[in-house]
Amino acid sequence: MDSHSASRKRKKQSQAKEVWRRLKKNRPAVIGMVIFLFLCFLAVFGTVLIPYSRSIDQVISNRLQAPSAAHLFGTDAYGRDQFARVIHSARMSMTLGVVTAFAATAIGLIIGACSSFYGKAVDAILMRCVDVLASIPTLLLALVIVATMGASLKNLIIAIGISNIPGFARISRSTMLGIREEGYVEAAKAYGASDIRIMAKYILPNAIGPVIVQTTMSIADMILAAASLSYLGLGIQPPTPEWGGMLNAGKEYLQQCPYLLTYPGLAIVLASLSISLFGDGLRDALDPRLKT
Amino acid sequence: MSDLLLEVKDLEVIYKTDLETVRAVNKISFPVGRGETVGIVGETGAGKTTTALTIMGLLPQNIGRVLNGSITFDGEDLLALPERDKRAIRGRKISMIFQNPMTSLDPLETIGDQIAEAILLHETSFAQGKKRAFGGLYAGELRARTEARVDEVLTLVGIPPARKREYPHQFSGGMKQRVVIAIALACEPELLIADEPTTALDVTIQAQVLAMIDDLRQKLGTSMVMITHDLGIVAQTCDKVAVMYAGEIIEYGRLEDIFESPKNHPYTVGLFGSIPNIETQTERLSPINGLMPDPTNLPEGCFFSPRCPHCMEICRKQHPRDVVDGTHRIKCFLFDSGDCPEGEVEH
Amino acid sequence: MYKYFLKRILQLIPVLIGVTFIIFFLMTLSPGDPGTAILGASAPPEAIQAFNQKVGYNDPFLTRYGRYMVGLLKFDLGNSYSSGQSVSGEIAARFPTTLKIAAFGMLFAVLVGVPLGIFSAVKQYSALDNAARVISITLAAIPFFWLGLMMIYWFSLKLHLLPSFGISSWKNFILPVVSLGIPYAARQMRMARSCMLETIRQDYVRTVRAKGAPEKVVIWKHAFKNALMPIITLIGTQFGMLLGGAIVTEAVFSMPGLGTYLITGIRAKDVNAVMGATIVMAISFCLVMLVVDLCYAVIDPRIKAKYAG
Repeated sequence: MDSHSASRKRKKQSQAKEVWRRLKKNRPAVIGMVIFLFLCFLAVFGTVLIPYSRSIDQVISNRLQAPSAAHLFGTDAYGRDQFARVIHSARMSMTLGVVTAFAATAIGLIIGACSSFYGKAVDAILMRCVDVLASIPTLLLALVIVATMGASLKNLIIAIGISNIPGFARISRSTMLGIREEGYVEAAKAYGASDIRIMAKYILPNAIGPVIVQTTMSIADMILAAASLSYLGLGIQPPTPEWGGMLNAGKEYLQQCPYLLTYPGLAIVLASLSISLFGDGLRDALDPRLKT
Repeated sequence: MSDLLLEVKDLEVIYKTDLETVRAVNKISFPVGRGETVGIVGETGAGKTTTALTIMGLLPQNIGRVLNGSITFDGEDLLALPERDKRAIRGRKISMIFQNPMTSLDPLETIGDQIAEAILLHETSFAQGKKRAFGGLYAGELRARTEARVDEVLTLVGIPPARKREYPHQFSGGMKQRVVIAIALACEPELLIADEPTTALDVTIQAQVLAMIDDLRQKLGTSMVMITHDLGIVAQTCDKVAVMYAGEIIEYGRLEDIFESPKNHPYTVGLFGSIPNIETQTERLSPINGLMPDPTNLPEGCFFSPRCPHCMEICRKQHPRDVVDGTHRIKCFLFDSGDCPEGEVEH
Repeated sequence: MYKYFLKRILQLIPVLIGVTFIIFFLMTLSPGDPGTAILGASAPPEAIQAFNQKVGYNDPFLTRYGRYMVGLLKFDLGNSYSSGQSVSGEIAARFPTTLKIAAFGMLFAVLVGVPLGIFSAVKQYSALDNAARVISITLAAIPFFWLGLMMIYWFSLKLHLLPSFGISSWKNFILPVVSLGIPYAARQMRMARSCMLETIRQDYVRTVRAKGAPEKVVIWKHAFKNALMPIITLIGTQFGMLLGGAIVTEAVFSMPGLGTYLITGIRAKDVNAVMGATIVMAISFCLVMLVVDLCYAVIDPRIKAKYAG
């Protein structure tokens, strides 16, 4: 028994290594991953690199200055340094993106697992609920939830998370249904493995693949949704820096100070792009068949 | 007009991806005479399908590559032809039936239209590059003629012509395969390549389909290349047999040479030995030990040497050559006394 | 075929009920009652109470839900807390704008994205394909509202070519539609490409080639038609995101549509307005999905046959 589990562990490790190797070869994906990690780094250590006060302190005498050596991205209407604000925004956006993505994935996985495993009645009820939730456009649902609960980081996570659950529930369910049909699951049942064991050992680990790709790609969508809500004034409230919020604040100065809008926007593009490249590369690495 | 319809000579095919190069077909040669059925036998991965696809010109574009060799059909080298001429032959003079009937038909077109398309694609006016082989909207005399032919072909394969407006999902597996055969035979090709046509079907249906193929062949005088891993089918349908292993033809001969001769390649012996025998009582099946070699990393010397029970020193070092004995050809040092000249197999 | 249509429409009804239920439920959670909102916070408490009682605010949840649904069926969505006008009237005035933005945005995205995606799939590995993939992934990462702002800057403020707010002419719709459409076109392109690649790999495509068909016939007559179904599904689901995008786009371009109505309503805590706008948009989305489903019946003979008659 020991040699079996040992060899299985080896297989899992070498599988993971294989995926990693394929991923490494994909240069755009690697670049994406590096940038993404850099942004995460900024999210965590941004305030260490640049003091938070530079984002918050209002120095009216400095207001609306064009980009210069002192203020790389210029200053906004309150004299706050835009460069610092862009860097510090990473914290809000990346947190929102990553936490929401994982939360929605986790709940979606649970729903998908229950649905695919317990079949018939449970499946019907759960999927009907998911269908109803899916029938409301995601941004709309998030807006309504935020409208009801008020705007804060926690509420944004809940709102955007809930509105994205249906996607994960569906993909988890269909992946797991597919895995259930596979020979090794039948074999496990035949030698009397318990439901939980089958779920934990066979179904979940194999379902993770396609789901993880979805999770990664959705981080970009979450960041975009959060930015959209903040742009509308219904997301992260100022003075806390957030890219969408910065665009909202800057839009009235579009004509005179377009730089107020350029850099936060580019930051969003960078975050979104890096994650998409990474997600794409991850998908190709996990299932190279799809590439050719 | 020679007796030889198709001659494959020294064919080498590789699949080249970013990661690796797969040597799928390694210098094979075999002839197909008019009206003859040649069986290609071997395990999965031996290179049988690749050979068939190469003859049809259907290798995956960016990955499959013919390194060497020639395929002469009716005097012309298929590999040297421009794509347009290859297309004229494909479906018209050489047809192919694939393995999985369940997925081989377009789910959105009626079977009648799919058969008609095979005919229309080779109507002279169309073959000359004029557009529409879009069934349905074609006119008058052409339509009448095509529809008549569709009915004829459907009847030949045992499907009532009234069903021609039905869709593939309305047919069972065996019936679908008949439709596939109908499509392949619609233009009365001279050569039919059948790639494991009955593997996906039940045994009883299998017998029906094989009988039908044989019957049609006799009626139309079509030559056939029958690719299979089932020696039973070979015995039933083939005149000549080529045994493939790791991309090579390691044995070739008439049916009697393969089935009844005392001399056979060790691999062939192993194949026969692994068939369960209904008459003797035994406790274990006797498969051939080991696995087919990795086509990206073929062994030195004879490809079968790692698994061969009669492996000799020389087998590991040198690549065996064809040893010819009349109509029988074996690629093995066991039969190579050194003085036999390498020559052409008699027909 | 009509049986299939009927079945789909009937299946839609519980979904619509569910959707309205969820939205209604969410809105009841929001703070603020009609009395305070309409009469003002400084009005005497008894007056507020009396008002709330009159409009049935204190009734049990299901009664209120039922009352609202009955009203919905009569196209009566209550009165706006802010303006006192009929919500359905206000929505009716604004709905066309949102619809135009979303519909044309989708049209743009599909007409540009899908053909590009298909060409990219057919010419896989070529320089064109690689370039297209890079471009599409970049464009898809651009937030559409930022693109809108940038376009306003260049085309409106700098070059004075197009207007940047209002809905006075068709020109007002160009920038919103394009700024919304470009990122979605990029997404459509990627999805169309992968659907097409998936289809080209199928066995029956190989059969068509084996018949001796020229590549054009293989791709357009067979592969494309089969790829159409998943492509259409994806277009349908993307419409939801497009509707959400239209909301924000309206804000960017200051266009009086449902989106801006919704947002003003949220800020003013105008429950009826918010509910009405949300429900109308959600129902529109459901109807679009229904149309997509119905398209299947037209294209896929398997469904046609199942419900023949």
